[in-house]
Amino acid sequence: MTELKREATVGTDSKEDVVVTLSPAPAGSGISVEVSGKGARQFGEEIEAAVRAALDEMDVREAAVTVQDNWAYDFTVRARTKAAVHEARED
Amino acid sequence: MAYRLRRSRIYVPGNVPRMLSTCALFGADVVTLDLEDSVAPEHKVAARWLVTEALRDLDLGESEITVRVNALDTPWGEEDVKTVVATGAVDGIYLPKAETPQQVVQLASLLDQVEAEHNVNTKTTIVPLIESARGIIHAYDIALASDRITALSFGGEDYTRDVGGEKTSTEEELAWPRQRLIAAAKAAGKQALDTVYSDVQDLEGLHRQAVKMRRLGFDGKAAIHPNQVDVIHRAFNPTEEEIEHALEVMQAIEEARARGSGVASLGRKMIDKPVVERAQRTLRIARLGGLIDEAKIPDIIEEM
Repeated sequence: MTELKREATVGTDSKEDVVVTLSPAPAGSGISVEVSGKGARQFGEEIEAAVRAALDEMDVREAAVTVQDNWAYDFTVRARTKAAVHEARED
Repeated sequence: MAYRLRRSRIYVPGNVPRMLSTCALFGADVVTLDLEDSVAPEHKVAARWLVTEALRDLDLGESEITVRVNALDTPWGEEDVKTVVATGAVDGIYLPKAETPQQVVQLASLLDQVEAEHNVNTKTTIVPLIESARGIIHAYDIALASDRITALSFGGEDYTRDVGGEKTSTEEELAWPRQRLIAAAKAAGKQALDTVYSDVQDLEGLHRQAVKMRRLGFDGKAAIHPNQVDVIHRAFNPTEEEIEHALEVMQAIEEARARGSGVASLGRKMIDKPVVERAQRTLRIARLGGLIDEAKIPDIIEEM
């Protein structure tokens, strides 16, 4: 399991991008995902699914995630999430 | 290796989602997703993930998909190669700042390893970017360093800085390295690709320069803006007259063969081997670029 050591924010507010903020969560609390921004109402579920898929691939089981969307495609959501994990797991 | 059109090659910054999602529409022969110069050090890891996930999802059309990784002696280069090649969606790697054959050998062996580990069935190609005095001096040995190499590509900005020269509008400072790179690439049986034209507003200037580069022997030229792609294609496509002449040459060869003669002529001119080879090359490019009716192409363009 990948342990998150600190908060990390990755992405920009440019069109088709997304800002993902990842924070360590207490043991046993699982993963929480909060989506806001342009595509949240229409694609909130897809965005959350993309975040969860990326966390699963990176073997993250405990995390609090906030997502500020600006009409990002799934590949961008996954990429920003994975990059945030990369940063958050480092001291 | 079969001849592949590489008239235009567009750089797409690796950390801009909007560019990655639209780059298939640019119509370039080669798309180069860039992890090197267009990405600041603090965004290198984020860009690597973005390019990797884009490669997994996006249909990048018929373009040849390549990635310019960071040099292997940087903190990012090796991981760039491992991560993007593991997707199985990369045709080729552009190796920046290539100065020695050893750098190519190192990349080729890393590719052997990654392809085997991730069951990547296609052999990833390599294009060394020659952008220093040392690279130009070693260009021929670099071109021969691996059978994965398809082309040498020239980087004019970095070269000029490396030799302490100055960029001029006539680009005389680039004349010698360009010609040396072409000779090195062609002697090794590879394509030669020219550097960017940095004034994206000046499309006429780009066309003039690209035509000149084709005449020197370059097979294509890098682009930094989608508007440059069509202009570069026009410059590197053979003209109608050239295609017509090439067809006449091949027809004369076929007629001579039918007569059982080893000597062909067109009008009062003997057709010698270089003329035939040029005609074959013209027709190959015309065919790949969709500039000629397939039925008109004689079978013998791939022979001899």
